[in-house]
Amino acid sequence: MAKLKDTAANDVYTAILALASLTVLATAVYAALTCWLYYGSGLWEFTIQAIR
Amino acid sequence: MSQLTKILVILLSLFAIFLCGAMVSFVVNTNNYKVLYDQQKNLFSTSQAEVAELSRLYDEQKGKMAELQSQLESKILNLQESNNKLIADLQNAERQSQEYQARADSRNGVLTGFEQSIRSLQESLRLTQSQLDQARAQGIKDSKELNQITSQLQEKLVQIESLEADRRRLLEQKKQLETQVGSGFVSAPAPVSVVTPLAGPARPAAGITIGADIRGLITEVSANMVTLSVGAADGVQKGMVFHVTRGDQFLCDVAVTNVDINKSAGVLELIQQQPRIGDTASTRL
Repeated sequence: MAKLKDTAANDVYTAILALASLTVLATAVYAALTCWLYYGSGLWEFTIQAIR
Repeated sequence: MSQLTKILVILLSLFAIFLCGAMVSFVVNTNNYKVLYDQQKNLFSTSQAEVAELSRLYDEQKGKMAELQSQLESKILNLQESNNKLIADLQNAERQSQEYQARADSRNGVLTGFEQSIRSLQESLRLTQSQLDQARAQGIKDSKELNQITSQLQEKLVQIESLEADRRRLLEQKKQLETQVGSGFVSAPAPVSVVTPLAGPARPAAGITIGADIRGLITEVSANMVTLSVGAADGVQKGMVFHVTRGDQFLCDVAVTNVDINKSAGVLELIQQQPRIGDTASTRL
């Protein structure tokens, strides 16, 4: 019983971790799409020029 | 799963969610620098084109301004030259005006003197004219008196000639009577033949016919008057008109204004030529 209880708790924390990972991934995809929308094919050139 | 792992999972999840929110808000609020860059680039290129156009216009305006400046400088030089010339002309005109003003003042003075002289001359002319009129009236009166005296003298001469004839006739009678007395004949006295004719009563000299032609010569010539060699003794009367000729050429007419015994004077009329001394004057052509 106790082990069953521990497994359920572990699944909850795993789900939370997966949700956090999904949020990070969605954020990265959103930022990447936004950057692509802004700069298009010249993203890398602009990035290099901005860095220089 | 240990407690520490659970805490780390929770913290990691919270941090990931917070980081994702910050990332989203940053991406949402960030600027599109490419668009801004393009806009600035377009603005820059447009500005450069405007600058180039303005520069070209500036150069053109500068060239025009330089040309206009050169033209205006030449005009200014010409105007300065004309201004100097006009100033010189003005000075000359002012000087001439002063000279003319001085001349006008002097002429005014001279004219004033002339006017005074003319007034005095007119006054003296009027005086002389009145004296001349008086002298003419006196001359006419004297001429009339002279004519009367002349006629009386001619009557006296005729009377004297008659008396002289009577005296000669009486002397002849006396001489004849003395001859008869000296020869001793006492007889009836023969009628005495008298050589000197018996003179009639004294009568004045025959008058001169007015309508007869009177001819004379011009003896004096003045400005508008001439003197003729014939006078009242020749039948000249005041107002008669003589025609002056030289050969067959008509010169002028003379209207007699003053008549003397043996000369007369008149004014010239219908002057064709100026008469001279010795020209013929007659009442009939």
